[in-house]
Order: sequence, then structure tokens, then C-alpha cells
Amino acid sequence: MPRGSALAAILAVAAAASTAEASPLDLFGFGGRSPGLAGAGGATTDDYDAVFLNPAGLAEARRKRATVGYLYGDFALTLDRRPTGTDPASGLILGGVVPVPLGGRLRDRIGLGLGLYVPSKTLNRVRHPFPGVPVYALLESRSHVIAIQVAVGARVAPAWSVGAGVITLAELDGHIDVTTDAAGRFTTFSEQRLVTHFAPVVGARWRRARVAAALTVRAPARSDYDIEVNADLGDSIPVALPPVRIAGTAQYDPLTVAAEATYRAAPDLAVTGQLAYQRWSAYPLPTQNPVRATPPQELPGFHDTAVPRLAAEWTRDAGPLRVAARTGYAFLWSPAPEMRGRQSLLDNDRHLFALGTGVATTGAAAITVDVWLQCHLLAPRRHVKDAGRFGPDDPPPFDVIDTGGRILVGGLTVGVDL
Amino acid sequence: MRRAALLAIAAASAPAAAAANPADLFGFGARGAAMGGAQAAAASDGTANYYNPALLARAGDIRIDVGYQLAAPSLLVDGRDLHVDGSRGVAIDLAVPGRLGRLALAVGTAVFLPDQQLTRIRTLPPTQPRFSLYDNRPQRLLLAANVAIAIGDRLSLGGGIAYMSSAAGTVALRGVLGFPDRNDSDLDLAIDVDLRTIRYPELGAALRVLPWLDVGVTYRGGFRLVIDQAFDLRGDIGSPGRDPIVADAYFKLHSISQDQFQPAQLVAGAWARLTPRLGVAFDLGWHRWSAFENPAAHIAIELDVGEFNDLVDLPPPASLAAAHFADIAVPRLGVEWIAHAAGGRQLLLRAGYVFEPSPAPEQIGESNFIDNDKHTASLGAGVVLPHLGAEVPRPLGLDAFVALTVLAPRDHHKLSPVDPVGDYRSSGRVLSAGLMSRWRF
Repeated sequence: MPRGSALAAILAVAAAASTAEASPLDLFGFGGRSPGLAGAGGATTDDYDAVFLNPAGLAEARRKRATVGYLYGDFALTLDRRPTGTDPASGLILGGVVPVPLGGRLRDRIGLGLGLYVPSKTLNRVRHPFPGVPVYALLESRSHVIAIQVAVGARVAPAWSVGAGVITLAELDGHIDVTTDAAGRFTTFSEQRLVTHFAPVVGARWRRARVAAALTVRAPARSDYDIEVNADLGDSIPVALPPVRIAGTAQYDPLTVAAEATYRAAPDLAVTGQLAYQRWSAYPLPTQNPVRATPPQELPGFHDTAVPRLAAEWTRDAGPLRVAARTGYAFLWSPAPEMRGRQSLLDNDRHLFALGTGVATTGAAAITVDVWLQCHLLAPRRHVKDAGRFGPDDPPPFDVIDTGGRILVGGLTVGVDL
Repeated sequence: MRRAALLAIAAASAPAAAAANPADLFGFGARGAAMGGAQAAAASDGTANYYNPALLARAGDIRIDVGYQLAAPSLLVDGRDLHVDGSRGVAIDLAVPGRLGRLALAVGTAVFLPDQQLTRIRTLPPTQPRFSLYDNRPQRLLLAANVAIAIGDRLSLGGGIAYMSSAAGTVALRGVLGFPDRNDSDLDLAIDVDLRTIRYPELGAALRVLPWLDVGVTYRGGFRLVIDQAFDLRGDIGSPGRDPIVADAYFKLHSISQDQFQPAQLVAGAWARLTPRLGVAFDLGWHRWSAFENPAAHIAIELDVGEFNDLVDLPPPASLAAAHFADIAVPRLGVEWIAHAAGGRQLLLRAGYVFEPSPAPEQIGESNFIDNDKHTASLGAGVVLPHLGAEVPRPLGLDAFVALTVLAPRDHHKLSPVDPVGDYRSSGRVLSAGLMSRWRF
């Protein structure tokens, strides 16, 4: 049965659940600059977005900066050309970076960063239909999850810096017991706990005048839930209810290893390439069977993927302003196989096209404004059920289904140097 | 005998809980806790994120404080310890001052991260004896993020938003409900639950009235977590693979409960540096406990089990009595004395006292929301080390505190001579302590 619980935000800590999906960070990227580069930027960032892209970048921070922003995304996904009615994504982006002013050998070497994405309406969403019912397993609720990240970066040599941080999620466990009291009335004993789950992020960066290279490793981040429900209603009803276990994985970001290189082709033009490996083969079942006698579910059967990204950033000083224009492309290879069996965890390859721009004032009280827009085009896909895997009393949920659509998402951030 | 048995059950089945949110009850940071929490005008570090965010604007440098706090309650009913859970965890705060043009401002954040869990939600029957102010309420994360600005040299304003969430949703089951053996059940699960955002504000103002006198006022919004859960089972009754005994039956259970209540709080305080070495702080807080509602679950059951319907005998829904809590005023007094100062080194001694009257009435009816008047005495010490080498050129502070809260014994006389719990006396104590390092950059 359901579960409840709580929790929340600001600096550290919180959050669980959605639909065995991944986080909005993995879906759109993080910050005001990187999404305009199609999610690239780990080799060049020195702002709060380094907490996700590459914590080593925090070592390059030279100014205290606080950033606030907003994201809105519209999902137009279809099943057999009918819209799924997926809720839009909207949320607040908060970030901060602080160079730690130590002295001696540690001078100008250490930076701290903090980044949050706080959805507007829900801090977390756990939504998954019955096994077999078709659902966009990685897109449907993916953006409705809070993300909290903290990290530190250190410059260890003139050209080298390293960093480490955590993405904070939560796991939910507990029990709900419905019973009758001495007077024969229904009453509830329940206890549900939100327990912290930290997913480490580590990175390294090498940087020269015209070339920068970075390697980022993000450990798997998952948010599980596991609630036992026991309803002992005595003689009130003649049928005994079995113990029910409500368990599954609400959120899952796979192990990701991203290698990135940036080449400054001209004083005002930087070109970036990134290749990321994502270990989607460890993707778990979104929901576990609630009772013991239910036959085991088919495994999702996802496979590992490689995600290439290509981006370019043009920057120029114009009087008291520094302006930037950005663009990028990524091919997001779907980890989901064709759903020929009992599971219907749908996903499509996506082409991500990104545009962005930024304007920053220079001087003592610099203000930075970044705007970005992404268009995710889902490559059309058809899933055909294998009739031989179903019996006459157990028909497939569909014979053939076509999937496709697009996602449009944009964001605006404003950063202030303190 | 019956009462003893029930209290024993209570002790065994409710091994939970301790006080209000951890900072409300035990203070935040070692300096503030040592001074009885009288910090609305006296907070001088990142703990201002909790006590009064306006004071962040007075930070002259980056401040990071890291410490550990714990509290060990021993709360008794008729001398029996209810084994209320302790609270312990890491306290971290950050204050980053800066300028935006000519405007002096600061941003900050504070976290109390419990060791055991981020948050625990618990629902108990209304008759279950529990210490209401201590029952589960410190078992949660405290999180605050703020911005402060200085207006001139004397006035500063600050505020921020903190987040919590409440749960609402449905879990659906479909398939075959095993009969006569429930373990034969073959069910599938679907889930649709949202953790909805709850935002509550924190606001503060601080004014330097005289060179030696500061005053401050803080408002913290209140909230309650509503847990709205539905459990919907549809399908056949019988054995899988056989004709059903009842086809298309359904059973629906809907439960709404509350937990983690935090009253709105308005606190006014003053901090007077009476001599170069002696400072005295006094706070008076108003806590709106009258908004506290009976947290037990409202349960509704609907079902259609076909030919078994004649055997169904559902009890009428239980009505939950109002809690009848009252608003309270909480005075806090703290002193800080610089016992030794030389070469930038300092030794500081601190003490505090708090009286927190109980918002709960005597428990004369069915409910057992126990609370007592509370007296808290605290002591603390701090040292400031001016220089730890070239790498850490700014002063480092180390603070410690210990506090004892005594719950004044209270008798609860039941109106009904057949009350299942009966009359009892509540009492207890809470011992808390903590260490904190204060870094300046």
C-alpha cells in the first residue's frame, strides 16, 4: 500500500523516488551553461554546475557566486500517436560556488560548490503502472525529483585539478500495520523512514592554454522504497488480506563515465567533444512483486549505452559585457530493447539539439545571465509483442505499439558575484 | 494490572521519538545551545541561519561551522521509561558575505543531518501514550537557506525558505486474493505517490540600537505533514488457476494522518555586551501550538466481496478528539563571559536557562498526548585559536556545550473510571551535548 513520507531541501539532503527513472540532471544537464552545450562542459566549467559536470572545475573558481534560475519543459510523447499527457517539468535551480581563501601552499587551490534542482510541485514522484502496461520508463516522471549536490575541487598541479562530491538521494523503508483496537475500531501503526543515499561524483581535469580535458565518474544513484503492509482486520471482514510488500526503485541514474576534451580553435571559439558510457544494464525492476506467490517478473533487459556529445561556444567581450553563444548536439542512445515480452518499459533513441546564450557584466559586481533551450526528438520506434510468449488466458497488453514524440525544455539562470 | 500492561505495551511498541525539530529542542550549534538558545540578537556565526537570518549580514568573512550534537531522553510514565529515541547528528552551517554594488549582503545555509534517518514518519493510535512534543519530531532533517542584506550600519534583514514534503497517493493491487489461504494470493502492483512540496518561510530583522546593544526578531513558519494514503485492491477471490469464489471484488482503504508538526514561532531577543568581557542575551518566543491537531489516522474502508458481504461487520469510523493544545511563550536567558584573552587567544564560558511551558492540557480523556513543563539549564565553553599556520591564517574556534532538560512531574487524571490506560504521572529528563568547530576564511 501506499506510503508516505517526507522531506526536503536546501543545502544537503533529501529526496527519493520517481519511476525507476533517472534524474532531471541526467535528462537535461545542470546549470545555465551546460544545457546549452547539450550537456557538455565538464572540461571548462568553473561555476556551481561543476558539482554535477566535474567537481574538479571548482578548483578554478575565483569569485563567490550565487545563482538562481528556472527550468520548464514540455513533453509531447505519443503511444500509437496518442499523447500520453505527461506532466510538464518545472523547477528551481539554485547554485553557489565559493573559492576557499586558505593561505600558504593552499592559496587559490580549493573551491566548494553547491547545486540544487527543486521541482515546483513535487519533491519526488513515484509513479508506475502495473507490470506490462506501456509506459515511457525513463521519461514519464523523470523530471519530478529533487536533486541536491555538494562538491569540493582542488588544484593539485598548475595544469591539474581534481574534485569529489555527492549527489544526495533518499531511500524509503518502513511498515504500515492496520489493525483493530480494544474497542474494535480500525487503527494504524506505521513508521516510514527516509534514509540518506549518497552517490559519489569524482572528476579530474587537465588544462592548458588552448586545450582542456576532463574525466568524470558518477556512481549509480538510486532511490529505492520498501514498505511492508499488514492488515489484520480481525473478524470485520471474512477474507484475510495477505502481507503486502510495496517495493521498487523510484529513481535510477546509472554509473556514468564521461571523457571530454575542449579545443580553443580561436580566441573566441571553443569546440567540445564528449563521450559518456552509461551502465544501464544494471537498471532494476521499477516495482517488485507485492506478494510471494506472484510469478517472477521478466527482467527489463536494458543494455549499456554510449552517448556522444558535440558542442561549440563562442565568447566575445563587448565593452563592459561578455557575451556568449552556445550550441550542441547529443545522440542519446536508448538502453531499452524492443519490448517483445511481458514488460513494456518503453524508450526511444533521442536526438538532442541545444542552443544557449549568456551575458555577463564585468567588474566588481558581475552579473551573469544564461538562457538555454533544448529540443529532444524521439526517433520513431515500433514494439511488436512476441505472441509465443503469452498464453490464451494471458494475452499481451498490446500487439504492436508505435512510440515517438519530442521534449522542449528551456531554462534561465541569473548569477551574482558576491 | 490492565493499566500496567498497556503501559508496558506502549513502552515496547513506541520506542520512538524525541522532541521538536532538533534545533527547536536542543539548539543549533554549541554556542547557541550553551546560551539556552537565546540567539535572536546574539548569533555571531552561521547558526544565524536558524536563529535569525538577518544576522548573516554582519558576517565579515566566510564562515563554516561543523559540529556534532546529540540528545538522550529518558521520559517516564509512572516511572516506566518509554524508551524514546535519542537524536544525534551532524550540524553544518555556512555564511558567505559579499557585496552587490554598494549593497552588503550574505547568503547562508544550515543543516542538521540526523545519523539515523533523514525523516521518520510515524502514525500511532490516539490512545497510545506518547510524549507529543518529543514523539518523532526531532527525527528529521533541519534545513535552512537564507539571504540577508544590510541597510546602513545598524539594520539588517534576512529571510529564506525551507522545504518539507507531504505524501499523497495510491497503491493499487490487482489479481487474485487467495482464499481460504491468503498466501495463495497472486497480485500485481501499481503505484502513484507524490511527495508534494511544502514551503515555509524564515524571516528575521536585527538592529544595533546602541554600540553595546542589539535587538532582533525572527519568524519561522509552521507546517504539518499530511500523509494521505490509499490502498486499492481489485480482483477475484479464490485460488489462482481455479474458478473464483467471488469475481471482481474490491477492497479500498484510505488513511489520512499527520506528523512532524512544527508550530509557527515568533521570537524577539536582545543581546547586551554589558562589559567588554560579559554579554547577556534574552529571548522571548511565541509558539503557536494551538494549531496542533490530533495526528492519528482517519481510516475509511470500502469493500464489495460479493457473497461474503453478509459477513462483513465494519466498525463505525473512529472520531478523533481535538488535541486542545495552547499557544505558549518561551523565555530564554544566556550569558557569555570572556574568561581569558591574550594574543588573539580567547577562552569563553557560557551558560543559559530556558523555561518552556507545556502546550498540552492534562490528558483526561481518551487521548494520551503527554507533555510537561520543561526547565533547561545549559553550560558551555569555547576557545579561539588565532593562527594555525600559513594554510589557515584566520582564527579557529572550538565550542562545547552540555544541557539538561527536566520535565516537571505531572499527573493526568482520567475522567472515565474504565479508561483503558487510566491515571498516570509523566516526568523525565533530556541530556544533550555537542561540539562545534568554527572556521573563518
